[in-house]
Parts: sequence; structure tokens; C-alpha cells
Amino acid sequence: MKHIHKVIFFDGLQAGGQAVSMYFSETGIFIQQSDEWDADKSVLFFLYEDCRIQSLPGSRNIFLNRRGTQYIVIPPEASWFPALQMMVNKANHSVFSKLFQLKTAVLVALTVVILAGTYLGITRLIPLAGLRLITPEYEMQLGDRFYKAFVSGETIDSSKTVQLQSFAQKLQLSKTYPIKITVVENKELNAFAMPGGNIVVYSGILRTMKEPDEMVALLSHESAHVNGRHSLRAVLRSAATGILISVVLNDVSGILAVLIDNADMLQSLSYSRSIEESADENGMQTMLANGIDPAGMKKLMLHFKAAEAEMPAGISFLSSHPDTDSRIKHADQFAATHKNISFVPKPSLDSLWLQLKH
Amino acid sequence: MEYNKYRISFQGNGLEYFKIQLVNIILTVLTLGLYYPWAKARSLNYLYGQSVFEGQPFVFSGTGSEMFKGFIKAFALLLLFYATLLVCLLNKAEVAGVLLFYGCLLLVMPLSIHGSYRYRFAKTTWSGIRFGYTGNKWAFVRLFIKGVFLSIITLGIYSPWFQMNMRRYLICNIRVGNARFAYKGVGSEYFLLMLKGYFLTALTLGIYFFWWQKELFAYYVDNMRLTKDDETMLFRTNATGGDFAGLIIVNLLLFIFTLGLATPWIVVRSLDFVMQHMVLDGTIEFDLLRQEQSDYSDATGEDMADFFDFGFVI
Repeated sequence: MKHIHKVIFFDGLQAGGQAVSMYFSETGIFIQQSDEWDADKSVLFFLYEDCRIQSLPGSRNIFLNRRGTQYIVIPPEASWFPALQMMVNKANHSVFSKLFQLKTAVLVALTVVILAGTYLGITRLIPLAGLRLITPEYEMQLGDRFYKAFVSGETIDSSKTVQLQSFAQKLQLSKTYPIKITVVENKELNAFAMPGGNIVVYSGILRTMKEPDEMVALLSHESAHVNGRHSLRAVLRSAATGILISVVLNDVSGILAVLIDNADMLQSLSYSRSIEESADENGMQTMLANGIDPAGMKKLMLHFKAAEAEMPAGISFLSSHPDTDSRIKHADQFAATHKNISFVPKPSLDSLWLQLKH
Repeated sequence: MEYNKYRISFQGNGLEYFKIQLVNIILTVLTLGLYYPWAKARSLNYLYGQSVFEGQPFVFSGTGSEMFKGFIKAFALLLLFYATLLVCLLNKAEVAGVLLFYGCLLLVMPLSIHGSYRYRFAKTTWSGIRFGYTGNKWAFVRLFIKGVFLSIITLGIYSPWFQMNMRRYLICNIRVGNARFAYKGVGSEYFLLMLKGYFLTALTLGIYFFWWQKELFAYYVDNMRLTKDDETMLFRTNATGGDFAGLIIVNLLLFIFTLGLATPWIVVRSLDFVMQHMVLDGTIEFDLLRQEQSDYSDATGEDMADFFDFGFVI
């Protein structure tokens, strides 16, 4: 026994709807364009797979094809609608509709987890792949280009450069990269490493230093950046974030760009801190390997800390070195554990240091 | 003939649209962006479906797979352009390369507008009746190139005329069943509107901006009409400058204080605003609209327009 229902049918030929008879079975919806069901008259049949339900405040429509041209409007009092709704939904499983049934809070949580996961995944994977693909040789070429671009706007102290270079050559700083030192005229307390082995030391910091082991600490710290390929890592990381923002997510919604931007800022902060800590650690290992007392690292940091108090802004070494106090503490602990080692004097380094200070 | 007043109402709500966006984001991220066309179809589907005219909703029947195919084609085309440009640059033919590139761009932009209009309207139905866009591809390209050329040599002064010519051409070719839209805005009036708006906004330190927006909106809406045989329907707007101030200021605050998370609510509010302030009056009997426009499923233009990010503007 089939149950005949009255619905309004839009036939896709003319805009106005017409009252028709319909019933539904296991497979689909049957419609006859007449007031009373007449077994002799022609019947339209629609498969559930092609149907789609649309609920609006105050009305429910079932579209009978994917083109949106034919549909029926279900009367609001229809008690049989849930049964039909189940049939249509059963034939139209989609991941979207499953997810859409979740609570908003669950969806928000899921979105956050997936975004965070993807963000971390991509910002880790791309740098990893990049580090494997880019050889140290290519990195040196790249670094040379950065270096040329940088020095073109600076004044080089060439005699100090030669002296500091021979000072550095007395030390074993890097196995892979040729360490090339440049001393630049600048009052600021600053020094930095470029990918591939170039290290730039500002004359300001050279003037502030008292002992040769401070310079060894500085060179060891910067060489650790070179050996750890830190600038390359940072470039790859920001490239990965850039790709993430522009290609994968940008157009979905304005929300995402904002989220990623904020996440990236936090990440960069903690990232640069962890990079500096590892450069300190590896730098002190290098000092040990060269037979120099790692206590020099702490002395170096104290210079920066003093400068921090005097000149609060505009010092790049400091702004990228956030937590000076905790780093000093760490350097202190490291030196303390190696207190008992007796370090042999290095007269050749000392004499080069004296030349440098004159 | 009976004279009637009609309104479109928007019944969407921000929370539901927000949920759609969330699901879209999840799926888009998990598929490394490949879900994007399906996500777009879902969003459009929702926004169209919540727009109701005469008790019947609009329907967007475009699908993700159509737009995905279009996306692949548009992407291949774009790649081809850049490859050509690169080849020219590497062979020291910079001038030729750049000229070729801008030449192509000048061709691709109108073609993608044309394509997106064809696709978007063929996939829009109301009451089972399909919309359609019947403009001629090359006529629009000619109009576009002429407009860009004249705008450049007049240092932009021609641009209001260009915009109105374009709008007239596009809207006059939109159909719904056997009824056709028309637009009668002209460049000279639009130019004066822009001039007045610009100076008064500067003079009033920006306060006039909202009234300027109201005048522009009115100029777009009030010049539109729909005709079928000898029946006509006029579009009217009753939004005031104050209404616009409310809309824009609240939207801005919502955006700022939620760091953009309120975007779905802003979209819903804006659509609601536009539809609430639009009235149609005239003699067309909408129940008698006949199906006359054909289907069209090539979404290349639609996706190309997405790449250029000039969206879909009426």
C-alpha cells in the first residue's frame, strides 16, 4: 500500500509551482502531475542519489536533480518528511555533511588541531627537505651573494680584517665551511654569520672586548650558526610559512591568514631563542675543542648585557638574542662543569690579540 | 496587468555559515588545497539558498568537480603565460616578453569575466528557472580593450565611462528564463558622482563617505530593470547614508575585535543589508517565467577570475 502525499512541484519549464501527487519507495520519489493518483497516467521517477534536501526557515525543499531545475516543496505539517529525509540522506553520504553535523565547538577544536598540525608539519618538513637539497657548496655561493650585497654599503677595516682572520685561523672552527672574517667600521656591539662561512664583526665589539677568549667565544658562537646552517634554516622556515599562506590557504577565508600570521610570530620568537641557545652550547663545545676556557662566553655576554642597559634600542645582536640573563646563567653552568680542566696558555693567540687591540 | 511590489530576503545566519567555513577549512587543509573548488561550491550553495524571492530560494547548482576542472585549465593557462614570459626574459627579449604578457593579460581578463558570467548565471536558478548570460565574447573583449586603452591615455579620467560601459554590457545580457535584465547607467553621470563623492568626502574629513556609498549603490540599483515581453520591473533602493554608516562601521569593528574571525557574520550581514534595501516593482508575473536559457558547465573563466582575484562583481 503506497502512501500518496500532496506536494508543490516545480517542473523546470515554468516558474510557478503546481500541486501534484507523490509517493516514495526504497529507491526514489514518484510524482504524478494530477490531483488524484491514477495508475494509468504517466509517472515521473527520481532517484535518491540525485536528490538534495534544502531546509529554510519555514520551508523544506527537495531538489530532484543536480541542476536545481526541478524540486518539490514539502508542506510544513507533513509528518512523513523525516522518513523521506532519511532515505535521501542515506543515498547522499559525504564527508562534508558528516562533519557539518558536529557541534560548532567540536568543529572549532578540530579546525585548530588540524591547522596547528599542518602548520607545524609544513614549517618543519619544507626546511628539512631544503636542507637536504641545498649542498654546502651552493650555500657558500648563496652566502657570497649576500655578503657582496652587504659589504657594498659598509666601510671595511682591512688591516683588522686580516689580523682577525689570522686569529681565527689558529682555531678549529668549522669542518665544512671556510670561515671568512670581515671587520666593519661600526660603533654598535654586533656580529653576525651568513650562510656558507662569512662572519661579520663590528669594530664596536672588538673595541669593547678585553681578553682573547672573549673573541674566541664570539667566533665560536657565530661559527656554530654557520655549521648549524641557521640562516638557511630561518630562510627556509619563512619560505615554508609564506608558501602555506599564499598557496594552500589564502583564499578559503580571511580568518586563516590572520591565524597563521600570529602563530608564525610566536613561532619565530621561540625559534630564534632556541637557535641562539644551541649556538651558545655548540660555541662553547668548539672553545673546549680548541683548548680555550668556555668561561669566555659568559664574559662576552656580560659586555652585551652592559650595552643592553646603556642603549635600549636599535642593536640587532640583542634584539635577536631575547633572554640574555638565562643565557648567561647557562654559560656560567657550562663553564662551572669544566672548571677543573687546566687550559694551556696560547701565546700565538695572545700575540695576535695584542696586535688586534692596537 | 497587475502592478506588484517584490522583495528579496536573506535568511542566512552567521553561525551556520561559520560552520560551513570551518568544515571547508578542515577539508581544504587535509587535501592540501585540492578541496577548494568544492568548498567554494558549498559556500555559494549556502548563500544562494538562503536568498529567497517570492517564497522560493535561489539555487547555485555549480559543482566542485566542474570548478576543479576549470581550475586545472586556468592553472595550465597561467603556467603557459609565465613560461612564455620566462623564455622571453632568458633570451634577452624583455620588451617583447613584457608586451606579450600584458597583451595576453588584456585578453585573458575580459575572457575570464565573460566565462565567469556564463558559468555563474547558467548555474543560478530560481523557481526551477535558469538564469543565463548571453553576451558575445569578442564584443566584450573589444569593449574591454578600448576601455583600458582610453583610460590609460586619459590618465584614468575615462575610467567611469569604461566601468559603466562594461556594466551596461554585462547586465543587459543577463537573462532569467524569458525575461531580460537591463542597465541604463552612463559614464557622464557616474563621473560626476565619483567627482562629487571624492571632493565632499575630503571636505567633510571622510564623513560623507557613507553617503557617497549610498549614492553609488543607488546608481547601480535604480538603473536596473527587468523586462519580459511588454512587462517591466524596476529596481529601487531605499538605503540611506546612515544605514551605510551603520553597516560599514559595525562590520569594521566586528572584523577588528575578532581578528577577522567574524568574517562569516560580516558576509551574512552585508548580504542581508543589500537585499533588505532593494525593492522590485512592476508588472511581471514571475510565475509565468519560462525555462529558456541553456546549461553551461565550463568553469575555466570562473576559476581564472579567482586567480586574478577580481571576484564576481555586479
